Amino acid sequence: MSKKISKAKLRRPQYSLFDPIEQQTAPRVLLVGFFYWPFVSATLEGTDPLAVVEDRGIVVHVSPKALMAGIKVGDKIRTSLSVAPSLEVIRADAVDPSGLFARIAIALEQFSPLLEIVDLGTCAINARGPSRYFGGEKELVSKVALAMKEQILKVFPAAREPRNSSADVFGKGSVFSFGVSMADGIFTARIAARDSLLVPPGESGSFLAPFPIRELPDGELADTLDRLGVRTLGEFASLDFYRVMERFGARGALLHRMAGGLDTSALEISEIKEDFSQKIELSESLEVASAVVFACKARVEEILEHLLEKGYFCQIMRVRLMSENGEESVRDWGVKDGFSTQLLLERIRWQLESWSSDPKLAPSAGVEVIELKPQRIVSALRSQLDLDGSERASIAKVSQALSRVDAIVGERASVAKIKGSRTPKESVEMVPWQLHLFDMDESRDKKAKEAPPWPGKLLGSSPAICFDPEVEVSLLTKEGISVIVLADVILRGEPYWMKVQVSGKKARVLEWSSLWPMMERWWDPEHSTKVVRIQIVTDDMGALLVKSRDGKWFIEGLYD
Amino acid sequence: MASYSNICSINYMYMNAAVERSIGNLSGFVAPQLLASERYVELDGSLAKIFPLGRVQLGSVVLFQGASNSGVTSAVFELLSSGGMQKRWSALVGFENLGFLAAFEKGVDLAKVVSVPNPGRDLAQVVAVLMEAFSVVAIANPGFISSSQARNLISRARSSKSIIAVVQQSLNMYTAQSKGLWLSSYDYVISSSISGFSGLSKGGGFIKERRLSLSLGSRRVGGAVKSITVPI
Repeated sequence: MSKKISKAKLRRPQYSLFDPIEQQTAPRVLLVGFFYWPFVSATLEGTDPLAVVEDRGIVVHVSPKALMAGIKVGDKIRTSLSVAPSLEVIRADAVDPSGLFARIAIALEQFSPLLEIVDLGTCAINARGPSRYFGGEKELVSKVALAMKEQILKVFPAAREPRNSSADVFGKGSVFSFGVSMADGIFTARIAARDSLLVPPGESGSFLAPFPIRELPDGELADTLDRLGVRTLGEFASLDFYRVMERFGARGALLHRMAGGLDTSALEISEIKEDFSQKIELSESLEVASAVVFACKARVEEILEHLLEKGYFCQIMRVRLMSENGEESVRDWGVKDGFSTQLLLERIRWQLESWSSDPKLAPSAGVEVIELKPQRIVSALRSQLDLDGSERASIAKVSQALSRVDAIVGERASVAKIKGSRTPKESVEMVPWQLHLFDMDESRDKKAKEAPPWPGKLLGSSPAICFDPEVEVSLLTKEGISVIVLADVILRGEPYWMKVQVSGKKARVLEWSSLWPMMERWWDPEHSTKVVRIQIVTDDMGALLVKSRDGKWFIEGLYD
Repeated sequence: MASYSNICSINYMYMNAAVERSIGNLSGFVAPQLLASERYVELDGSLAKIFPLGRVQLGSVVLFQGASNSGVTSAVFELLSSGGMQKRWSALVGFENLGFLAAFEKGVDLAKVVSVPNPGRDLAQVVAVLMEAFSVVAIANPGFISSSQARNLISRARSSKSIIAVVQQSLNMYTAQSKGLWLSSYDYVISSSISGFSGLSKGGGFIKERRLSLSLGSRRVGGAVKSITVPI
């Protein structure tokens, strides 16, 4: 830890001539944010879900009912399950498989063709032009709110009859409640959307100032700042820009600008000097979405690879679909971590589906041409600013090689991350390499190492092989009677033989350890089971971690 | 003309020794330098004691062999955690059940290890692509590589300066998979076996220590075998 940032050093950011001018003005953004989007489809099925959305163990969305149970965004999934055991957990990548949100967001397209879906439940347009055209910002906001409501009722006719007669379909607490805001930059607009506020131009900085530092989209940095005594966005923004950059690097500098209401990371079109747009002409016009996706897969892959070879990831892609009869559908799609082939194909499919299901705009013939035009590209190495040149070059080579391997193999290569847990298998999380390269801090591994041991964690070193699925074996006494666990603490019978079911091989058990009882999946009362682990050593020098579950024995790991 | 060229050649011969000396001095400054770290991976721990000069040359092909329960995975971890791998990337191809926690405990820098667990039928192609960027490419199930592909891979390893580490188990009794043979010309062959345990007694304790025996055979040291037993 370096020295504390003292309050004496707080002062307004002073920009030098070297700051690019355009970074000091944020684009005017109109943003529509749904508060409970991930739970819409569950609600339509007739249940009022007590549910949360989880991303890597952390709660990222909370349904109204779960909110009442006291669960907050940012909680650990384990702790919230202990608060509400019947909690339904939705994985972040499984939230909107059928592209429902795209069909709602399309309502914004009548105001501006450059629609950006920031994430599921949040969409935005650049508001400068449209607000002039529609007679002012206030008028635009109310028109958008009206159009969104109409669109929701169109897409979900069932929403018209509220189950609870007193509740308003769009009132607070309903899954369809949403906010419309206008502000400078997406970051400010997102916060303003919670109360449907219109933040006048240039006042985003003072609007953001009283909000807590936790609003920053980087929990770790927010924690650090909090510990340093920087409690609000305003305090952070008033720190000297160059000191922040020195201390927290390029990412810190970016967040610093955000906190000051200078989030430029949205809806910028002028950034790209080189034209990366590509046309994909299908050999025949196709109507079925999946057929189109299949037909353009190879070219999409090629286009993204070409970008990557130049050292870029694409964050916003404009997808233009053209039918045989000349109709068009244009939409901007955004992904924070850059598009992979799979993500982009998914977006293309969503766009196709929502286009062809729209009664007014549906094309009269199949799709013939797909044009892809990157709207915002970022250097694939943007998070590597602190590394020396040779290492940067090697990361570029690594990402090139891996994207080619992904294409050959058809699934993503991954990198292991260590997190605290009780079993060797649960302690490892495999992360797709793209995410890893963007977020290459080893601090997490170090933290895991320093963390106190988990209760019930195995003693000694971990097995070098962890079988998945586990390998079934039988443990027998000398007489051939199965060894079983009594009362979680003692074995009935002494293990003498171990027989592997799949290969039929038998080995003599020489030694075995004391017993480690543990609840497996203890947070999930329906699936939790009691398991007992022991280590055994066989006469062919096999050292194994075996466990007993429901009266059967399994090899969990091999100390190879 | 003739006399001129004679003078030249005399001068040349006369200057030869001096010139050579000064060029020798100069080359320290101007010649393209190839640092040792660009040609070798420095090893430490157990492998340093059996590899000649304690290092392994980039571009070589290493075989790790042993039966099931032979500690062959631990031997691979010894390579990946060695000091010379500090800034280098390694790729693991076809390792389906690897215990990354154990690798982490052994000191492997997981941030620089990429896993491709199911390379499928295009194994040779995958390995060839990986060698362009990774210093070590470890392959766990080389069954799908033909001998001509293998020859190509070896020549690629030489030119791209990657180490190919082939991990081969004669028969895995726990998954009933037999691992395919790959080729016969390895630069180094590391055979491993486990020679003992401590810490367990019938129904008590836990595995505190295992003893791993490693022996190295190499064409580069005239086929001599060097062995060592280390606690892990």
